[in-house]
Amino acid sequence: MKRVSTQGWNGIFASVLAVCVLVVIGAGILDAATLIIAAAPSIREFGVSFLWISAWNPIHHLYGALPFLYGSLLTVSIALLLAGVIGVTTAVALTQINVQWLRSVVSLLLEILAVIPSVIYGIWALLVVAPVLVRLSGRAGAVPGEFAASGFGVLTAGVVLGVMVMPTVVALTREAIASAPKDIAEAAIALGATRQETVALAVMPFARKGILGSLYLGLARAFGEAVAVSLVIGNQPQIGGSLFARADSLASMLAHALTGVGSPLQTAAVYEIGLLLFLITSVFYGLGRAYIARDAISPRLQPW
Amino acid sequence: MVTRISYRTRRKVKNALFVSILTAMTCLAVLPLLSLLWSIGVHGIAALAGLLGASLSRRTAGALLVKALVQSLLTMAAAAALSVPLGVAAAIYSSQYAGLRAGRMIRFAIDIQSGSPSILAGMVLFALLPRTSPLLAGVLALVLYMLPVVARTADQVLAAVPVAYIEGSLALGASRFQTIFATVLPTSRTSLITALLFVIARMAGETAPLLIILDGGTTSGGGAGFQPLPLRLYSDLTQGGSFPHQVVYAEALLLLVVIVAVYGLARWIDRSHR
Amino acid sequence: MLLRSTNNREENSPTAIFRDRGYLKVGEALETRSVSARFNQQTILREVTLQIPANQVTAIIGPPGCGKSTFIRCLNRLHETTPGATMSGEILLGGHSIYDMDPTEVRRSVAMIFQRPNPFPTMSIFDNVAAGLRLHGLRNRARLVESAEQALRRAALWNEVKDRLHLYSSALSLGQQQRLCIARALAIDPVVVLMDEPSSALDPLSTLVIEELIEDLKRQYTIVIVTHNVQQAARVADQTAFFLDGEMIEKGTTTALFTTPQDKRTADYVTGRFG
Repeated sequence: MKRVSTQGWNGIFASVLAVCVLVVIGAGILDAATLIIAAAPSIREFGVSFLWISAWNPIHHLYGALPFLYGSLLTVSIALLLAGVIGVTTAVALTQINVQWLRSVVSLLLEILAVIPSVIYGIWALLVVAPVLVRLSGRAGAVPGEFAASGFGVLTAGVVLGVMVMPTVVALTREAIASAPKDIAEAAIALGATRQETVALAVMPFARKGILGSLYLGLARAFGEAVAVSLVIGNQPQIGGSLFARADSLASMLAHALTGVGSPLQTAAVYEIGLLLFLITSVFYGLGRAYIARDAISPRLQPW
Repeated sequence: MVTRISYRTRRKVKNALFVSILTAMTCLAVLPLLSLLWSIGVHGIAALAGLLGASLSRRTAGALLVKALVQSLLTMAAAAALSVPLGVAAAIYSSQYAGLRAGRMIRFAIDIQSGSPSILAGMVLFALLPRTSPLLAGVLALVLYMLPVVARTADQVLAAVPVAYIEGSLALGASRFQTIFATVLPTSRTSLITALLFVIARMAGETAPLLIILDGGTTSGGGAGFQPLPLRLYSDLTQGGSFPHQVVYAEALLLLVVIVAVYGLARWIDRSHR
Repeated sequence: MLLRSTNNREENSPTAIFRDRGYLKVGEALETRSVSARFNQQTILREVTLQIPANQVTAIIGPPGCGKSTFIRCLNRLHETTPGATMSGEILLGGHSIYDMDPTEVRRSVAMIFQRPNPFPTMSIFDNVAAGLRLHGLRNRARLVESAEQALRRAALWNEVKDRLHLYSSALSLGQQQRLCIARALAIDPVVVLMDEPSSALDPLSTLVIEELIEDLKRQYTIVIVTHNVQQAARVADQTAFFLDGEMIEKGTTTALFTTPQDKRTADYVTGRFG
């Protein structure tokens, strides 16, 4: 009978879809499993101390994550400071601007900023950011000669990373602010509050959660950025003193590390760094999502 | 009385400060993009103009550029052909079929995956298939990276279809299958296409996964033939004798144009079908 | 320091020192002259000229969409905060144009109560009432407490909350929340209180309480109330104005408007033939 065959199709269809879901999730599990298995030799060799060994020495077969953790932490901190301050204030500005065309233009520019690939950010970093920073720092005071020559270093990488993360923060903060109840803001205005007071009193308390979530998501994004950072960070796994020194971050070292030649232990160590990166990114991403509802992140504005 | 008046002025000053800080920050936010577009535009156009010159070596460079572009597009197309159907199918399941708890777990798993950096996808493929053709490995790496993102984006779009439409269809006696193809997909068609185009625009520029697979982008070695645009860009950047290197700008401009074009297409579709 | 007549106003109010609207007297009269309001290209209000006497309750009635909310939002300059909103005409408070004053000052003197009670949910009851005072510069804790108590008494809420001032405002019932909003507005000593459908979201008992409150408040303030409930206007208002499609069709003392309306449309609305 016709009804039976429709039911039959229905069932087959649903099964096919379910298989697809399993494939997608399976791919993710494959990801994690591969990383773990590939990193196993290194994990066995170094154990937990991998986290604080501060050398990356193929000659002596000694590998550790500390220099890269250092580089990552520094660059990500700079990035988040920049992106957070500029991003949140820009988002507030966008919600306060009444001029429609201005708002659309700025939104458009920020969306384009989010679509641009990392390589191009890298080129821009080499082309503009590094020289500008060299010039600014030269004017400000004495800088290490190495920095003045190339412009590579933690600071440059941090700045570029900040620019890359900013659109995410702006978009998510805007969502957070937009979800603040409007009648509370009206109550504040009716009491005679100025714009600044209204924002402080009736908008920010509601946006706090969303802003925190956006910062966590920005963190996840910043940790994972490899290409742009690798071009300007200097690629020297050292724990130097100043922000002008060269360094290397977790993601950016991965871009160069797998050359196919090298001891199995080295390869395993590289994968252990990859595993570490995977864990860090997942944790921050999870934290961010804990604060931000899924629907708040519009499909158009997926930052990664 | 003096205190009162100065408090009122203080509020006004605070407000004015507020407005000026907001303006300044917004300008700061917009500045990098403008600087980026300008610098790449200017240098890129100069480089391209140079390439159109008569010199033979320049023509070859131009041909290589085109080849890189074509390889990029083919890689993207192949990756999309694999990941979009799978991802959308998974999304249909998670948004239409899955129960509450199962749906939440599926979404959570896919979400976490979508947040992982692209470079890891390359590493995984490198570990799994170390000796396959770079083209295949590259495409698969992209697919691995794209799959959760596509699934998640599609799920969001599909889940946004008003429940009322779905319920109306089911109330008429349609099966889930019929409801999906007659109601859900047509309603979300535009949003879905737009969202997927956005994803593709972003993915077109992905360098990291390919980097790993091709040994850091060196032109020597097994991957000599396969150099899609972003990869080309990176390898030229890190190996070119002294920076600036003219070809790099042309490549960068090309890549930028392609991506912004796809993005623009997505926005145009979005706007005209609203 | 301030030339003011001493009718009806508590001179010992802690916020007396806080008032510096030297040229305004207590319970001021409002006057609108040819006020028109537009939203983008659409005209919402057309040439409304209305006098709102001091220390009386004026009701604005009319069917939904007639512009009564827009009208009242012009009176405290809230209309202009909506993007795309414009208005023309004059609005005078005590003879002075409100467009010559700073908007924040206007809103301090002309308070508004909204249809849905909107106390600040992240603040306690006390902080809600004190919010306006703090905004305008009163910091002294003792004075704040005194003013808050006064305001809560005036809003007929004191006895119900005096033991729980530090609870979140969301712990109150809807009717109490509305009275909290009234207390918050009264705390900054306005001269006019605007009410945009203040009891339409409330149950009948709370409505009754609010209406009794209005009767009480008009001794000290000028009240303008927008309501879609014709009987409510009949109960509380001294003067009533009937709006239709953005125009003020008729106005007069409530009794006159209801018993002997001049315009047929007024008669139809008031007797319930439409709306």
